[in-house]
Amino acid sequence: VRKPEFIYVSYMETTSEKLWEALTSSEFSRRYWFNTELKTDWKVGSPFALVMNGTTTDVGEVLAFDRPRRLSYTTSSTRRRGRSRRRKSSSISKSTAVSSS
Amino acid sequence: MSKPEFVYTTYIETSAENLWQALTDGDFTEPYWFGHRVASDWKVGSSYRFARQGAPTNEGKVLVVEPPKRLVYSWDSCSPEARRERTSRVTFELEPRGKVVQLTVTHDELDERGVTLRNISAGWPMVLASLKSLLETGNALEIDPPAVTKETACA
Repeated sequence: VRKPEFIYVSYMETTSEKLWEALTSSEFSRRYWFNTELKTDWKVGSPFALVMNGTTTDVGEVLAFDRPRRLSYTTSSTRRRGRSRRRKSSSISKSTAVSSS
Repeated sequence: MSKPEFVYTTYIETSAENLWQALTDGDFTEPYWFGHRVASDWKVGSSYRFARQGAPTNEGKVLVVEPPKRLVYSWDSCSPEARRERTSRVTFELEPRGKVVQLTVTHDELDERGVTLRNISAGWPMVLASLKSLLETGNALEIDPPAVTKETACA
C-alpha cells in the first residue's frame, strides 16, 4: 500500500449484511454520512460518485465488491480536479469485524 | 509527539464528565476494557495500574490530570517481552462537540517495531469501540479477547 494512508478499525454490534447495506445504500448513507448519497451500480469497473446535498463532491471507480466482506473504490475530489489536472485517487477498503452476542 | 505513535479519534454521545469517569473508575473500565480494572488516586505523580482477574497487566505514573479534558499517563506493560521496551505514554483528550464528545487517544514514545506497538494498535480500537457502545447503549461489546499472557513482570 502506498503512503500516506489512513487506516481506521472499528467494532460494531451488528451483522455483516446490515453493515454492508449501510456502506452501499444511499438510504443509509444519507443518515450517517451528512446527507451524502452514493451514485453507482456497484459493478466492478463502474463509475462511482459521492453526492452531498445534491452536489457531486467526489468521483471514482468501483474496484471490488465482495459482499458482505470487502468493498473498495477510488475517490478523487471534483473540486481539486478543477484546479489541477493531477488526479488524486485513494482506495477505501472496508472490512467488517463483527461481534456476536 | 515522538514517532512511532498511535492516534485514534472517536465521537461518543455522552458528557465529558461521564467519559472521564469511564476512563478513570475501575468499576467502569472492567465491563468495556475486557475485564481490566484500573486503580489510582489520579494525583499527578501517583501510580496507576490495570489488573485483570487480580493479575496486573500494565502500570505507570499519572502525568497530567485535568478533568474532564486531559489525562496523561506513562505506560509499562507487565508482559516480560514488552518489559524490555521503553516506557510509552498515553494521552486522552476530551472535547465536547455539541451533543457528543470527541475523544482522541494518542499512544506515543513507543519502540519502533516493538511488541507494545503491535499490541496497542490492535487493542485500542477494540477498547474504544466497546467504550462507545457502553456509553451510548448501556452494553459493552463482546469481542473474542486477545490472548493474554499469564506471566507478569510487575511486582
